[in-house]
Amino acid sequence: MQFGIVIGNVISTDKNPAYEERKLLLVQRLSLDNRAMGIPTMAIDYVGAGEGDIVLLGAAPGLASTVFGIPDAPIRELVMGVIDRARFSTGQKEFGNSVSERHEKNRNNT
Amino acid sequence: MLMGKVVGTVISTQKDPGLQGYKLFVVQCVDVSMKPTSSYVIAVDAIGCGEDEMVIVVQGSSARITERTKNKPVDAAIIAIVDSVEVGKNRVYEKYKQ
Amino acid sequence: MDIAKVMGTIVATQKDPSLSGVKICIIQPLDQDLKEKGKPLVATDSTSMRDTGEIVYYVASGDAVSTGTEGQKMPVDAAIVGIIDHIHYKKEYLPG
Repeated sequence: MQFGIVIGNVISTDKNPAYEERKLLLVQRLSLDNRAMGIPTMAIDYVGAGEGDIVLLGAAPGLASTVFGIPDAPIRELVMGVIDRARFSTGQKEFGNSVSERHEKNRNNT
Repeated sequence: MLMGKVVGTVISTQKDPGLQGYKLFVVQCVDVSMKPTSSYVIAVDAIGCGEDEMVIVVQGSSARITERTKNKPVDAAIIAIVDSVEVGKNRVYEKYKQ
Repeated sequence: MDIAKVMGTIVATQKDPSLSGVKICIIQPLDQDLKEKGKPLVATDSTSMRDTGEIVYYVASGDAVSTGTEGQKMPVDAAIVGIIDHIHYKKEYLPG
């Protein structure tokens, strides 16, 4: 898995059956010093991530079939978790994704 | 497989239920002279390692074969702690160096 | 999964039997702004007819083998899995 930031989403109607009723996000991979790594990739979300979230981006052959319980899914990238914070030997990074902080954000928005 | 140093941990509450109870470590990859490279991977701990340790990570479907990660949604797993590394005739890494 | 544009089609009669009836295309990978990125590649397309110029997404390497009809395995390392209708993203989330 790697760090990624959700920058948007992709709409697609004509697709492989394994993609039916799944949300497609556009995710930019991040390096440890918060820089972009390569170009944004598409990923299936099933944990409820949204735009601007720092997420755990998983990618491996056969990973999606383990997650969704369907044999042989042609899916590579998956958003597997929303990261609250990361602790490094050099210090701590807060991503503002923790549940309490989200409540705070929503309250300020309404 | 790749070798790297555990440089951090990741905390996530909203995640796949299959990842519940696992420790997620940030592993920074190293080259043959043990210098850190720019690449990294977030891996599930399958052996019980700690921060600042040199470890071996497997990626892809192999990560789902270990005892602790069998049939779990895992794409990278830490499967060994490195004691020492020898390249050519030189010992480039030793864990218990005085 | 990555974004790509269909550049053209390939016709091959003599091929692995599991590939019979499968359409083969040349695709050009694109970035989020639909600008060309990297070299074109050959990909199969087992779902439906794709027209040249269509924006699609594809899977590469080990995930592409299971794109045959009814999950049948094919000796393929890149396969189109869907057509993109709409891409929405915010530039301010892109770092750097």
